[in-house]
Amino acid sequence: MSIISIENLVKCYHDSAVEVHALNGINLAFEQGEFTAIVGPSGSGKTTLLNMIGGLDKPDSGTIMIGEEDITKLGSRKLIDFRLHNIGFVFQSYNLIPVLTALENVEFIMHLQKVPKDKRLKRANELLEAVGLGERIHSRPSKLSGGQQQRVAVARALASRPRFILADEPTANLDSVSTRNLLDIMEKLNHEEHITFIFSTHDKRVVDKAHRVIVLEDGKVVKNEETGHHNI
Amino acid sequence: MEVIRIAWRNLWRNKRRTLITVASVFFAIWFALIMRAFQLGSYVLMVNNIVHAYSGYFQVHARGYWGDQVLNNAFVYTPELEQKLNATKDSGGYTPRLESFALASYGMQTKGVMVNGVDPEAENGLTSLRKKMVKGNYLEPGDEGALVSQRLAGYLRIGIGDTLVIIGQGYHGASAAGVFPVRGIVKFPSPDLDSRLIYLSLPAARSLFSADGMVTSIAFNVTDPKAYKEVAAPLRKQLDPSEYEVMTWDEMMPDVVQQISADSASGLIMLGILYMIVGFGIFGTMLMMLNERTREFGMMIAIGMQKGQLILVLVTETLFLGLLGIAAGLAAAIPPIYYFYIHPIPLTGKLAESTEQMGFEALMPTAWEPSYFIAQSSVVLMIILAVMLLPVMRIRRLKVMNAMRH
Ligand SMILES: Nc1ncnc2c1ncn2[C@@H]1O[C@H](COP(=O)(O)OP(=O)(O)O)[C@@H](O)[C@H]1O
Repeated sequence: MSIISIENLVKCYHDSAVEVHALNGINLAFEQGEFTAIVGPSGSGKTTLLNMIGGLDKPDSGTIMIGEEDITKLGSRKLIDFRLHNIGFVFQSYNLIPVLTALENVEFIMHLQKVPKDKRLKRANELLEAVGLGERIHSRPSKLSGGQQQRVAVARALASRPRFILADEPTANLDSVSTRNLLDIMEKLNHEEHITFIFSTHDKRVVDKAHRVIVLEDGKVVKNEETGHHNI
Repeated sequence: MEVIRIAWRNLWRNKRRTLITVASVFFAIWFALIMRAFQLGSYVLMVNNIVHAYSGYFQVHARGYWGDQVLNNAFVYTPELEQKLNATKDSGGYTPRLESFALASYGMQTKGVMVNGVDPEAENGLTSLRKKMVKGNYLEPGDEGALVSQRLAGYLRIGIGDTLVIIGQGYHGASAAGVFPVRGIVKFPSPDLDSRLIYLSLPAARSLFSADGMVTSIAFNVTDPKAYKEVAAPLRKQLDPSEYEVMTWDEMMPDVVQQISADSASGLIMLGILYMIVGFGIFGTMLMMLNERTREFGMMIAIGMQKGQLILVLVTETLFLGLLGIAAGLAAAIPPIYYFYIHPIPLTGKLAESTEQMGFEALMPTAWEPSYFIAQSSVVLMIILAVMLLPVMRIRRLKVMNAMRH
């Protein structure tokens, strides 16, 4: 069974004079262990789609089933709780709480989940080790490079043991070395731990790594195909 | 725990802003406390001076005397009455007086005066009359002589040992005339009192005015100046209101009370303005902080923090700010307030002169009223709580999507 299934998703914005059909009837399904890129020109609806899947915004119509739950039907408090326990987020920037160290940032989400202190600490350390930041655990975000910050964000997203991780243009602000570095880590986690990643991107190099590419245009899926990478 | 840690660190991420905010709270509370302490202190001093110069904290009169202060409204000082006076709890003693207007004359000079027949020791207990002596000797009980106030003595050109003539009207129209050797000169700071007061012993005054066994008023001291009403109340109950009136100083001198409350109100208005300025300052800072951190708030809610938890962080931050400022303000205000309570600032020069002429000591004391510290801190805390509504409303209304685009 799919971990995410989306049916007839529609989202319009009407705050300007013209109505913008950001999403125009999307039907998609995602499976456990995917490593999928959502691409398309600017304004095609990538961010809107990811936000809908992440429960950060509500569609005008359509359903988004995550497991057994239609998240479009959840009230706001329930939805926040659902996000906490089921979805990992990596944003383009501004991922981390500036006053907390890398370690504390990763711990923080487990704190919200009420994981006991010793377990939190152990897992946060392991995850930061896994993203190659074992040396920088006590640094605050401002003392880390953009790439390092994104890796902390990945560790933080993983810490809550989500069903999948959503990443909206996670490499948009990174140089090519950091981009490759981050992708390597994501790929490794996907390969070894079967972590599901769904990310949007503009970057050709990032698209090339994806196992499946979904192309959006004007709020519609115009292409949805496997690349054959994942068997490597 | 995590809330407190995050809140505390957030406080120091913009050190300058935090320090300015804390400093403004500090200054507000410091200034308010100091200003108010001197203001209240001046009232305490004023009342104290008035009460101890003459009136006492409360007086017993024959019914109607205060409205018509004439000798015919005197009353008999009975042993039953004295018993009740003595039984009054927490009184700091009392002084019976027989007062009336008369003419005083020496040589070629004559002047209208206020003759005050007193029990010398009891009078000294309330008004420290003995300390006001500048020349000669104080009255003995049953003394046949007189004390003359300094300006009056100057006007009459009378000195120690000279014989003063007093002429007037006695009780129920009897004629009153007597001669009294001057025993001493007393000095009152108030020019008005200083130019018309004459003290006799009570028996001498009674015989002068043919008012045997009578008094016009009995003035009370109290052990705790704040509790004078509580001391007066039981006595008022015990005395027959058709015969006696018991009046507290504020009832006898409503103009003083009014003057104090008008002055106090203007002080409070000033404090109100100060608080408003500080309140708006904090409000502005809060607004700026919220705007700067909108994306961060959006992110925190996006990853799964409940709004209530985030509000708790912000409330804690604000509370830290406020409490730091209040604590610092109290810590900086209390020692000087206490110091000047014990050692009032002496006034000098013209200011001292004019203060003394109004009959007050030339001092600027503070009031030591711990309840006032709590009241002021609470007011500031209320302001801070009001400012707190801002983040509460902001976070409650926050839409993750919009916040993240910020
Ligand atoms: N909050 C919003 N208000 C109004 N229009 C929006 C909003 N969010 C997105 N849009 C519009 O919806 C369309 C899709 O946007 P988006 O999902 O951000 O695309 P992409 O991520 O592919 O660039 C765009 O035309 C955009 O201008």
